[in-house]
Amino acid sequence: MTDSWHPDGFDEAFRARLARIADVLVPAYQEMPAASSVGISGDLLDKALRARPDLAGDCRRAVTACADPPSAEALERLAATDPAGFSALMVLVLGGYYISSEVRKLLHYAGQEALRIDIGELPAYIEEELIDVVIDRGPIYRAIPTEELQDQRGTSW
Amino acid sequence: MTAADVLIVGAGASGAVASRRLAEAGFDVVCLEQGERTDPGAYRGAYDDWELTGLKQWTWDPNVRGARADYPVDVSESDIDPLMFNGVGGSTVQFAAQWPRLAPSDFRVRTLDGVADDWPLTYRELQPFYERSDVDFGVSGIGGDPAYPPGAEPPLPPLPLPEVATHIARAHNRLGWHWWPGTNAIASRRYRGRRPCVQRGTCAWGCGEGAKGSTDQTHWPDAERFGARLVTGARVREITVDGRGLATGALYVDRDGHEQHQPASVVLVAANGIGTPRLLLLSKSERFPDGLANRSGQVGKRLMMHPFGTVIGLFDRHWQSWQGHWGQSLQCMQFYETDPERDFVRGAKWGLQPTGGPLGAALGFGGDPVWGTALHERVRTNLGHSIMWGIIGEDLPDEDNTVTLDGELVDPDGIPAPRIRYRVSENSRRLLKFQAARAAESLSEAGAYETVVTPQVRGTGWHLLGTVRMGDDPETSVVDRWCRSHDVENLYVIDGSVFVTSGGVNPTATISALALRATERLIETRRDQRVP
Repeated sequence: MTDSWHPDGFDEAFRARLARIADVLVPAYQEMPAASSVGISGDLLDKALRARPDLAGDCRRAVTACADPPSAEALERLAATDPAGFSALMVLVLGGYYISSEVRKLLHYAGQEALRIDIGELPAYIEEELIDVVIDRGPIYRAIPTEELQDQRGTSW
Repeated sequence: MTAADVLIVGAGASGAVASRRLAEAGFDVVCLEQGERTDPGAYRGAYDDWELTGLKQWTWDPNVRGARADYPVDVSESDIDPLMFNGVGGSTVQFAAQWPRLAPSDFRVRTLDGVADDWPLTYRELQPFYERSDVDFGVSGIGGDPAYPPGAEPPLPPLPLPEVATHIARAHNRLGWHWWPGTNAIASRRYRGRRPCVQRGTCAWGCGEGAKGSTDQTHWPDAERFGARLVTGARVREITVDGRGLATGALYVDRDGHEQHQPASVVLVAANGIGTPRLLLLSKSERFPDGLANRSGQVGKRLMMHPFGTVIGLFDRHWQSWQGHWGQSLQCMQFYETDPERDFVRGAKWGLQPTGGPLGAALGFGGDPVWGTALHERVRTNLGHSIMWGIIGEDLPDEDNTVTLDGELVDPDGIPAPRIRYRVSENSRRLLKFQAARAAESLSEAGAYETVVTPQVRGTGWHLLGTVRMGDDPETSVVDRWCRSHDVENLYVIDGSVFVTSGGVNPTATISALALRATERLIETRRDQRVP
């Protein structure tokens, strides 16, 4: 159990209950771990709550209202009766889960990375002359007759 | 308080363009901005909580964000939620920086298609200002797009095309459809002190690199160097007038809640298509009982917000499609112009975009929430394997789509909030349905095994247009072709409110070009300008 940040009411018993709900939302499946096995109710929840402290109240209410032990049916009832609470629970659990480094590694997702771009490299659409096909088809904008006329007369605008 | 030559309300795209140019020309400029300056180091794109904070602190929706600088908007009678950022740079802080222009036909929809109204100016007239704005904003792209008349090359080379975009370009060539590398106000190499794009894919939540052309980066440093005075935390509640009906400045509430008056010889309003009509309607007086500059009754009418749809293609191949510029890597104008064979008029532009990170994939791009094994399946199929066409459809003006003052709702300073009434038209519904079907064909031809179509998304009112329309006739329009009020000689509106029609493209290139054109006119005619 984390000894870091504890918003009001998020004690150990509450976190254990939340972890059981989280495992219904995010169960183990193929290579992906269940939410509780990556520590959803500890540091990951704290991280998610630090990012979204506005959701703490709705989440607390939703977890308290959900049947324990939880089931898919109980979550469907929660979603129907308390959409705001269910949404807060979803965002915090999923938000925390996808911050997990273990989960990100399995998804081959390293976050939004800074890449070095090379604008000197010839793009495939030039090298393969793909863009020439578009140009060769000619203009597709709708010409305005009065403007065309003025163009022909060499009018300066 | 020292009087200014020019007072500008709003430090976003158009306010920044005017502030810089006027200060450069030697005018004493004061700009009042209700929000604050944002340190690019505050953006969360490089951190693992960017998706979580993007749903609240960095959302585009002021009603969800609820920051001190924001004002609430009553949307109970709107099909679309209006979006904006209130702060120095305005909504360019969070815009995607897609930089297409209106097409020539957009200025002549009455003549060509018998709908709405023609603009009192033409593409050709605006073209030099488009080209100057491209330079000022540091636009990347490639010239010669057959969707537009010939003109100057963008100042920067195009951003790289992701591999999936090249597949789609090949697919469009097979279909005989238009595509073009995206034009974006994003630096592809170092440019005027800005660093190049790093393809992080979080442009719309603030660009921490400073590569994106938000006006806090592109215009404000120069404007302040030229002497413009930028006052933040200043929420304007009224434009004041004298006995001759000339604007004399503005009353505003400062950061400490005190009311101040900033006098000025000329007033420019640049507060977006909702904030500007709100302010004009708030500025009632004995002489202007229906709001300032509202003899035509058009202030707050004809709100256009560009109904927006998406089509996502799912591919077997992993493209790492959370990276890239967001921004558009490709744009397609194949179905932009009216075709009499279709059951709607006008058209749309498509922009190809990344699809975000795992939380976005899990929450389902606006779809129904799922959990359990279905959640894992959704993330497996979407994350990195998908790409999105964003479809911006022309939104024809309708006098029943309005911005008015709410009778009860107020902002944090107690000023009446705006109330929006907006319905998506039947023409827009048909248009988006058609465009979405074609976009699905595009992605299928490129190899997508499945396409996910959302014909119209509610939370997409980025473009706030048309509520202070431009025109030659003072009986049917609010400002003239130079953005000057018909009723108040020293009052100008220079933001997207003045659009006569919306076109079917992102509007910031046009907003900026119009603001630059209006500012140049103000400078040229300074000696003839009547002032209090």
